[in-house]
Amino acid sequence: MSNNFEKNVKQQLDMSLTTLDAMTQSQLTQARYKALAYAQTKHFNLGRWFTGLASAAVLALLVITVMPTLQTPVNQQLAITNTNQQLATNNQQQSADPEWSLVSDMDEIELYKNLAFYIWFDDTVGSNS
Amino acid sequence: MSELLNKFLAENESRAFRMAQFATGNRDDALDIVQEAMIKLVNKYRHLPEQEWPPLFHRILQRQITDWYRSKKIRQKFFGWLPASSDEEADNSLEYVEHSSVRTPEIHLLNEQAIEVLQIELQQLPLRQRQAFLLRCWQGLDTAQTAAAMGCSTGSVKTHYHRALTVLRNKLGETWP
Repeated sequence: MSNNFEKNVKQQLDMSLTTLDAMTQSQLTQARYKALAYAQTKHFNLGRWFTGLASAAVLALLVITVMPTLQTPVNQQLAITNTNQQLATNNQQQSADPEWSLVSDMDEIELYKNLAFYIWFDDTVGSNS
Repeated sequence: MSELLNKFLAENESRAFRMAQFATGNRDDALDIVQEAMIKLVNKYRHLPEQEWPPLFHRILQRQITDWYRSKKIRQKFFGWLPASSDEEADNSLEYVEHSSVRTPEIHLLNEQAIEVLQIELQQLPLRQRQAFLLRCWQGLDTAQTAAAMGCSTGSVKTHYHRALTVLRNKLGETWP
């Protein structure tokens, strides 16, 4: 009984195919030709372009964010080296300059602070001797 | 290759259109669904052997129909408060169903009525039950092929098909015993 019912339904459905109106059939044919023509033309693939652009943007972002982080230790090392070299150069210059050596030598500063005493002491001791 | 594809699509387009029309109840939406399914088949699978086209086409078509249902649900969710357009109402009235000049007016009328009743009952079935019924009963696919086309298990296909058959027999049994 069930098989008969299925057969009858199938028959009706098949019959509905043969009775499609001309307009619908024409539109279906147009749709088919459009689909076949679609295969023969190259299309601008928006998805593919979007993927490419997104990849490029991510790469650029990585370069901008990660590269400075990677370069920082090198920069710091360079900066430290430069500072040390500059200090060494300054020290050399300072040691070569007599006025700077006077200033930098604390004993000599004391000497100049008490210069009057030392002059008096020298005169007194010199005259006595 | 192009001629083979043309032949295959020509043989299947009417049936695909009817399936889409049963699912959507709308002629224009059904045409859009069939065209989209054709384009996808041609675009992605034209290089495959000819024997592989039928299951792929069914699968694409059923997926298109399911997508149409999903987008319709979303539309109803957000724009359900809007009144239905007059075009939709006109499409739902089945005014486009066949005009055959071969049959006598009486047979034509009976056939038209039978198809109309069948279409109404099919449209009232849940989506999965209708898909299972049409693919199994009309398209002649076996359970495994239907499951592949619907993207579900064979057990689900059996359940959906049995339920659809029971409902249709209860409603149309008197018309087609």
